[in-house]
Amino acid sequence: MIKLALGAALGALFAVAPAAFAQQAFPTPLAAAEALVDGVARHDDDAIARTLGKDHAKFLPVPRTSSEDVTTFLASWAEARRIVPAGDAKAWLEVGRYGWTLPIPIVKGTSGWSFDVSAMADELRTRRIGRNELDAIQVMRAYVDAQDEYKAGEGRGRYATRLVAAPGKRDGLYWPSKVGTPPSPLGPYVAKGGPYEGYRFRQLPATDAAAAGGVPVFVGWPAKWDDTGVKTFVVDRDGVVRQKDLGPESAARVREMSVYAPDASWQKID
Amino acid sequence: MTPLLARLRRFIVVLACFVPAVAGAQDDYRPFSKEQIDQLTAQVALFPDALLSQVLMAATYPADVAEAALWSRANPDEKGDAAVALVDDKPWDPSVQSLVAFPQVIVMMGENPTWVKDLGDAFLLQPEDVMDSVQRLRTAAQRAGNLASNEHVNVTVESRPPADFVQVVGAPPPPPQVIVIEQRNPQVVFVPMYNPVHMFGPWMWPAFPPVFIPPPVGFWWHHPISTGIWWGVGVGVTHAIWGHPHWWSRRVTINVHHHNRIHVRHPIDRWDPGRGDVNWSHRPDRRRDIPYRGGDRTRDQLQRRADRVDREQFRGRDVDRSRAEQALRDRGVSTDRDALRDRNRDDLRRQAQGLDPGRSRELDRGAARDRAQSIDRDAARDRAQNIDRDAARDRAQNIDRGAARDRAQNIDRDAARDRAQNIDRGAARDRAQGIDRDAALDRARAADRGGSRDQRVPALQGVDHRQARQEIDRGRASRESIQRPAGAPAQRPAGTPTQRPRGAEARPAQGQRPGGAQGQRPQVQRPSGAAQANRPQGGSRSR
Repeated sequence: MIKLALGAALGALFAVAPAAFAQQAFPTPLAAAEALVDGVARHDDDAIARTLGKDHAKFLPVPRTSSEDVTTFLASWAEARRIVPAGDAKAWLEVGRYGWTLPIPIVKGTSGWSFDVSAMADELRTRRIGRNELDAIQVMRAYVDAQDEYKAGEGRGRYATRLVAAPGKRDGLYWPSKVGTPPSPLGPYVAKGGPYEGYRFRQLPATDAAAAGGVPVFVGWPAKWDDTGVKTFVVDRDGVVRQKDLGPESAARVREMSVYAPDASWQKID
Repeated sequence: MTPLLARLRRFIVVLACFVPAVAGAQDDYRPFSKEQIDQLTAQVALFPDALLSQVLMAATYPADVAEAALWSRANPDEKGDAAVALVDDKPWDPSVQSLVAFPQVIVMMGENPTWVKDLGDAFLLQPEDVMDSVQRLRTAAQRAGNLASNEHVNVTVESRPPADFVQVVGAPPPPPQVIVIEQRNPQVVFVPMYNPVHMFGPWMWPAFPPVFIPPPVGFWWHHPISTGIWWGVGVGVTHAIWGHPHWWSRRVTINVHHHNRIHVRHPIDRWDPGRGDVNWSHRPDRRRDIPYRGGDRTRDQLQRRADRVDREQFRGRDVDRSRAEQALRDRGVSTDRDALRDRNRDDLRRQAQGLDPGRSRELDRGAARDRAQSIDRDAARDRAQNIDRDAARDRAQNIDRGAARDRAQNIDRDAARDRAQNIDRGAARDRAQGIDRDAALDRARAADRGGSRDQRVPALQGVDHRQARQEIDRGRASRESIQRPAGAPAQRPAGTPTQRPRGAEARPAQGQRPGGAQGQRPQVQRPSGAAQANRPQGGSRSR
């Protein structure tokens, strides 16, 4: 009798368990989003599993310990949230004031709306590329700032022709400095060529133009094409940055560059 | 008798307001003359260094100063750190908020808005001249016997620039000497009150009398002024003073540690490795509608300067490293930083716990914004470290192990021994003394890492990045643009519009260079500078 009851209970448990972890579909994208956020806010693994599927920990592990990412997300959700449709069968959850969207799209299936976790990895890569490219553009401009600073100080009116100074000298943009003394114009992470924020950097060899007072041309290209970045950037003396996609062989093509001929295929960034 | 005196004093106040009109109209493009600058600085030249630097910074935000002065008048008993905490939610620049600690100073500034604006503009446009003017006046005061160390301040003369002083090409030569006025007790500030007409010996420029702002009637520090300096009552502060003038290099730096302790809502998140201090930079976006001397041209120039300062974080210096270095120099700071972070986190946790739609609107927007500034950077650092690590592993795997082993075996042992014997002990000692910054930093960072770290959730990161939308758009645009026949080099025909749908956004948009007229240029080292001279500057991109 007891065995029978136990068996029935176990059977019931097995019958319920798969249902609890199967990814659920929702009548609207917003309902799906609310279910997910509710699960995250409660640290409720089962609830998250219902929205993202049983492998949810791979995509959205919700730590039991304090996590700045989770609390920031929840605070931003409380502040503003919006469903941004992309066509009839796809939508994004926008959260907070800066237009951020959850990198997991909500897609329409036969039974309703659900999160498409398979799309997340690629979406994260797209964002990484965007972020790195924006940062790399700033690095290009910061390089010109560093050259200006060098010219006004150590360079005594001349731009640096080397990124890293010769040992014991200050004939480049970066030299190791002692604690408590002013740092060199450029930091080691860029001066040594990266990778820094997913980009590598190089200065074209000094030429006559450089000797005549011009800044050497500075190039930044993605450390891993279509993964850490797509565009290759060059900057001139006035801080004007241009971009071009040099393709999967970006690194090799940058290595071949010896002079900078900015034809129309190099797009100017305003 | 008393009402008559009061009326007389009011008359003097009104009169004083007209004096700085000499210093020039608002759309004046000419630089201030030496005489004009002495007029402007006389009132504050004998202030202790740190307080003077706070006054100079605050003066560049005249609208904020006017409001803060009104606040201080309405709350005459508030001073010190407590007063600064009370104005934490005002939309004023931190330099102005800090001055509320010194009612005597902020109310004095409120008495003469024109003087404030001129002093601020002079400091923005001719900082070297302002700093030199202060030194000139201090020397005169000392010569007149009116400036010497006492129980409130130490007055010292430096006749040689510090060892790390770098003379900027084209800048005026360093002054022959500088007079430093420091508080005896850094946590107790005495604000001197004096009449500039009498203080500097016979005034050097009779046609340009110094601006004098007597204390307004009815204030506690009111005091009949004669020829001496009245040092008033000390104001206790711990973090309200965070500026510091560098007389030799003629600039003002900010002690980030103190600044961020007291301005928790507006922390500075850029660190100058090696100092723990950062150069002060004016923010045109906080100026409100008060025009600059020189008008929009000045505003553009100052905006470019601010952009440049924002970009310093992209110079390839590890932020973590500079923080570690700061910790190395002053262990107290790292705990402060943790405290700051903890505070924010607690705010957040409270918000998250009370998460229900009804309450959601009450969330503190300010806290979220401030958090954005500090979190962005952490995220960026983590990113950089992850990428580096991946790349390093890839590289490591590609190393030809056989070749490495061969090389190792072929090392010439004799040569190695010779080298070892020839090590110059003197050089070794020198090396030890000049500890390499990078090595020291690595160590410090390793030590700093002991604390517990948050677990990161990649899918939820970036929600408070100011440029979250731009990052997404940029990534999409770049990746969409590569859908071309594989292998073929990307050759976009000239004149093709970009694929980005939105052109004008906060972020500088990518624009196609107009026309094929540019064509295939001859081989030049760089595009002609003249063609690009008027490139529009992107807005300030605080992260």
